Amino acid sequence: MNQQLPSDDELIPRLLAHDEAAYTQVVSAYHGLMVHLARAIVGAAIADEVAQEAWLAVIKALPRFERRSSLKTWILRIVSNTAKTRLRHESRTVSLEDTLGDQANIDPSQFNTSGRWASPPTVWHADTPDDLLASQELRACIDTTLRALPHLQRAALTLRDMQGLDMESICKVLEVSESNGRVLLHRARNRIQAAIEEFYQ
Amino acid sequence: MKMIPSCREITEQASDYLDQNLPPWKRAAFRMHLLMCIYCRRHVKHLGLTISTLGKIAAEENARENSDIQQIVELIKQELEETPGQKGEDCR
Repeated sequence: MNQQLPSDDELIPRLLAHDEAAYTQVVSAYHGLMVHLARAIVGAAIADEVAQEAWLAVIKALPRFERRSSLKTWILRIVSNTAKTRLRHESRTVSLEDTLGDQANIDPSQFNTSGRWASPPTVWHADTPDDLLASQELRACIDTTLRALPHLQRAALTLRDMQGLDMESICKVLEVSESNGRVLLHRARNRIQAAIEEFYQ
Repeated sequence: MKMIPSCREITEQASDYLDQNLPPWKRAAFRMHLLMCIYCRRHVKHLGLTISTLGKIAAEENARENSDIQQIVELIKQELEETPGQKGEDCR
């Protein structure tokens, strides 16, 4: 999938000169990731469409790209913005306040007043991802929980834990501060963990 | 400030701990708590397993997916034909 991609220094002039081979390389390297990000924000039904729209925006904006981030991060930010705009058009919002504000972290009733576990985590009968995913039911449960995450939480989780981007790039892509980015990721992970926990209870 | 975090604080810091994003003194206190608390060890282990499971799901999805790269390149070509290149020439 991701073959050796030339450096941004080499790629950008070629893209600006409309070099088709360079576009093919960039599309091969980044399109899958773009669809994953779009899916996290707008859902599967229109993710492909949003990714395509983002490519057109990339072509249009490339002459003005100031290179304050890598090409990859810049392209992903265009995807993120295209997806957010799409949500707004459909009167669905993607505000950071919603996402950070009302989603409780771990259920506070799990702890007593001194901060010790009141209802400790149960033992999972699994030691590896393969053990967990052997259950179709649990797999479906993780999938449902992922889809129900607030948009930005799902985007942060997708980019970090599923597509392996570093936190600094993710915060640039989603246009959130480093600390908010960490909170988004932390909450998303906790939600998935809580869903698995519930499954084993 | 107390030295050793509570279980509740451990759950709040667990994500940063696994990402190696805690400052050294917090990391040391975190580990000290883990030594003493089986439930927090379990919680952190489960969080780690959750993260690696998400990675596994993504790897499976990535392998399954084959977005039509050629179709996207065609779309881009069409758009490029209507957009002037920076060097004013077509270098295809």
